[in-house]
Amino acid sequence: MDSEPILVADDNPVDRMILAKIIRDQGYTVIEAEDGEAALQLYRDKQPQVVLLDALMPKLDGFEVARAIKAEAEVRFTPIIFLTALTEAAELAHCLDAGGDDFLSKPYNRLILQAKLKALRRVRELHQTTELQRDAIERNNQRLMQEQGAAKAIFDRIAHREYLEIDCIRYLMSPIALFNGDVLLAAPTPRRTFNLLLGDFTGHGLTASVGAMPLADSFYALTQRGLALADIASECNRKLNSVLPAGYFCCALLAEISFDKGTIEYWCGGLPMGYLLSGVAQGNKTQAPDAVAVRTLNSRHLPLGIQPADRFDATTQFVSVVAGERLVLCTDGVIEAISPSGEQFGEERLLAQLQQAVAKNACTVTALQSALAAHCGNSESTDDITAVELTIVESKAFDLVPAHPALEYETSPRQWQLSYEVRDDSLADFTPFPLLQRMLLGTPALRSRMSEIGMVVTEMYCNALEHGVLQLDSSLKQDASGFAKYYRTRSEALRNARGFVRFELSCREQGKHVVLEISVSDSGPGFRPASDRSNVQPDPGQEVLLGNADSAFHGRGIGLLQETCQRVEHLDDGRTTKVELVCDQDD
Amino acid sequence: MAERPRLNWCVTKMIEAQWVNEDALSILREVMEGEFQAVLDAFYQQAETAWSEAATQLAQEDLKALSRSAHALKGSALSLGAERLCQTLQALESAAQAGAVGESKALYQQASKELAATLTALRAQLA
Repeated sequence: MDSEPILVADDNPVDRMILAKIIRDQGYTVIEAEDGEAALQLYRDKQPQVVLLDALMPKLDGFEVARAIKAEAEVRFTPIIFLTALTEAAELAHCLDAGGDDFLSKPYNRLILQAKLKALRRVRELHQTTELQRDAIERNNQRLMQEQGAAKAIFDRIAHREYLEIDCIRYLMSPIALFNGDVLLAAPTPRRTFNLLLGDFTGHGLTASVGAMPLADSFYALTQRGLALADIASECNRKLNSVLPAGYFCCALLAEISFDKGTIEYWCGGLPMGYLLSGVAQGNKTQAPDAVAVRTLNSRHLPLGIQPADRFDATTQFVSVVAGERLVLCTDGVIEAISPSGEQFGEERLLAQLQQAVAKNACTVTALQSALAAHCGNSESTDDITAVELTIVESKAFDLVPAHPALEYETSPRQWQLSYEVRDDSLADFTPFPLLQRMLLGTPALRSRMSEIGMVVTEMYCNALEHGVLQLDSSLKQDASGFAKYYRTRSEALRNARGFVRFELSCREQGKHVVLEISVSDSGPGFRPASDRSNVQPDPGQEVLLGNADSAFHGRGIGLLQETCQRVEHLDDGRTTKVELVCDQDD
Repeated sequence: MAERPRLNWCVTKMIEAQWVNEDALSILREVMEGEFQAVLDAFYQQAETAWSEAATQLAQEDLKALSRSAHALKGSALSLGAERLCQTLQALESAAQAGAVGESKALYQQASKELAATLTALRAQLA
């Protein structure tokens, strides 16, 4: 009836006969051993389901046999019944220590033994079920880990981690952050700026991580092509809105940092506020934490993925920054981290930690990590937390160039020229560079200078649009509040813009070089120098060096043009700016 | 057993009661069914062997071995319900274990008599 036998180990032949008979009568197969060695051998050979052991046996006593069996039976459970008189407590304890599961005493009673065998069989079946379930759980867990590993590998290929490993960025992110719904993306644009995105998807696990793929894909593709931040935010929103089920969304902060111009443009929807912390004054090693000035980048929008494309508000904000300042972003896991007594980490503690770290000239992210571990009472608490610190560096120190978009380059003629005009309503949502880049990439000599060209084109377009067509007053940009006001006025003015901006690009060979001439004209009233700079009155056709003295009027833009270009000219009473870039032919 | 004369049964019962617990034995009989005789035979065999070995061990004052012999036989005696023999063998096992030669000799003598009486009683049971 039962394939696995029951082992009876007793040196007394009379007792062995009696036990064997009782057990056999209950339908079990019996194997018998008359000493401890034989018992152990039979146990190994026949794998009995239950072992009945006499304590005192020749060669190897019952305790030793029991210990050996329990040591060998780590995986399978083999119950041991000790055959002993239930009189001496010390001996019973000895049996239990050796691994005994039950006792049987004389006179041997059929019903009692039957009950014990039944009970042990149930225990054993339970044990086997547990084993099977444990194995199944183990297998499932292994498969889950493999799947997570594969998913992470795919994501890592989409998310260009190398751009997070640059000197001015420090970040804290658990290896399984993807499955907590946290996404941190960074990449340089072809306009000498740098884009950063910190996202936090609703929920955990697979659903949270699924949206990360299209988000990263959109972010990188559009950043690489040089699209404006608002366009990237719109596209990310459109993509997530179309792929995520109702109720799922992504809190995010997107920022475009221009080290050249000292600006951060950002869009924030639902993510905790970002912090801009002033650096420690040069020459000082430390300063008081409350001397660290703080500005915040606040959320003004709904998270990505909620609104349909036609209702999405892509309005961005601008802040001015200087080298040494730090931008710190984190997900709500930081603020909501709970201490053993149930207290949240909170914004106050967060800010105090950031100020302290900056005051000591230490990394804010590292400081945050240890403060959170201390707050929560363990180090695993930081698993659910993503934070990033970006230090504003001198524009010279920023040298990241994106790979060229994977376009099928059409090689254009060596000498060409083109004119492109945008006017009226179209000005509101026009970003010149992505379009022009497609054209420029056709000329191999221009490819290695694409970042500078992108920066120059964008700068010239902004000047023509803002000071020419919209006639904005750039002196507003001198302080932080004026800076914000300037950009508010700009977006209002754009809605009713009338006029045009025209690009004229020409490319010609000049010996070993290729000369790119970019001319941008606008419909504005022309260039009117401020009274205190009357000595730099520009003359048509004459090369003008507008250096630093002009920075109050044109912002830092003109300086940038002059650093990058071989010639900068203002023509037609300042309505046209013409620059020349000389590129080597060799590459 | 039912056809046995009443008086005879009472006498037998009285004698047996001293040496073998009848309830224990009848339970054993029930359990063993056709193999009951084989168990008894095994006991006789074991008793004969163990006891002659015990005599030698006592003569050689090998009390450790004597203690083991007493223990082995005690186990079987208990299984068959031979309670008095069992008690004496327990005492012998302990004395021999403790190395008490004189006491062991005395208990051996006592156990020998009780063993003989027990075997007689068992044979009477089977008659």
